[in-house]
Amino acid sequence: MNTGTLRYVGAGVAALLIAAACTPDNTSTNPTPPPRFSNCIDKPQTCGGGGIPGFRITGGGRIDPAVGKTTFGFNVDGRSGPPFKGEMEVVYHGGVAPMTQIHSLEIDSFTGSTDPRGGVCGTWTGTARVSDGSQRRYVATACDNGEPGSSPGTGPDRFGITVDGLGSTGVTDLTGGNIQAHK
Amino acid sequence: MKHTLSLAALVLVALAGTGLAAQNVAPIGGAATGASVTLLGVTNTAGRALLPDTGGMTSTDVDALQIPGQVAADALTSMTSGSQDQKKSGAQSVTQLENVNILNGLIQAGTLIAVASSSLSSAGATSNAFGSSLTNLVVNGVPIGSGDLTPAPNTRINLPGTGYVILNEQTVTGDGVSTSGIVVNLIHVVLQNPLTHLTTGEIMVGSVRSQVGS
Repeated sequence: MNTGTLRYVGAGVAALLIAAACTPDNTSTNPTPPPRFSNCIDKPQTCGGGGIPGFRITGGGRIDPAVGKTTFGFNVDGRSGPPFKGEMEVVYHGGVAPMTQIHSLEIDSFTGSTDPRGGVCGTWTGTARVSDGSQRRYVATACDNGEPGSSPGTGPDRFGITVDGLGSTGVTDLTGGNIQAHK
Repeated sequence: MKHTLSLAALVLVALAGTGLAAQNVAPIGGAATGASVTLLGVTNTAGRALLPDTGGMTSTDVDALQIPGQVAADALTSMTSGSQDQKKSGAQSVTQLENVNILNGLIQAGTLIAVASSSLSSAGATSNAFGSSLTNLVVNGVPIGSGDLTPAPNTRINLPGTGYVILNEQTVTGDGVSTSGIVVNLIHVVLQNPLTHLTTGEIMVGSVRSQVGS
């Protein structure tokens, strides 16, 4: 798979994840329709409900999606690129292997959007090294919906990652930890 | 001359503003450590990530941890991250290990995840250890619960002839308004002389710390 194809796949996955991130919260009674996110991928840093310029987003903690418990940490400056400055490490404890480590090597896109819960989401794509030594494309989304970011199993902050060929956690409420967006 | 004075005044105001802004940014701190053993006053630490004062993120991976006779584990990852501005600050630390074996099987766990999180905003300062857990924990040959378990904070179990263990040891600090911090030691073994009960050492596995404010 060439780089162009990888970028295309990454953008496609990013679109899916952004759509997932922006799915209205089932527990919300707010009748306001969800924001539209068309062209988000084509306008990194400035798309989303109301158009959010790039910002810095930092977080760490744990999610418990259906695919298995996952821990993570990241710090991404969405104003700095592309390529964007930042780090991310994710450890996925489900699947066939006892665990899978995902270590970000490069961040090449960053997109800001609003979360239906009222906060802000950052979505970034890039290349990561995984446990088997291979390099794969990923897209990660983190949403800051207030402080503190977690109470057991109920967020309100959310995190999710999709790695080509490995699967997706979906954007999931934090079980522990916190996410903070600094605009 | 008048213009020069006006410019100087503007510069002074700008500098004062910058200084004020800097003062309003609350300091943060964080650390995550896979395991540490202290014997005869010497501490051996493995898998430690330390958060810089300026924030950001650091991580450390250890494929196979071995402190002979004391601690063995696989797939250790420690992470700590944090950031701050005038509106809010946060720090969070995570460490996880697989196949934890302490003191040649005296304490075992399948997966250990320790999480510490502290945040400061206009609503106040708070810290918690949500997300911390042990899978298939066995102490002294006795299974403690089943599956994913979060022991009650500061659960103590005696280890006859060895000392005792504190599970999910938590120490919270701060005033809850402008400062808050938490230290979590998911497994803290205190080694004691069997006759005198004097402490001879300690083993900590899954230690995380986070703090906001000074």
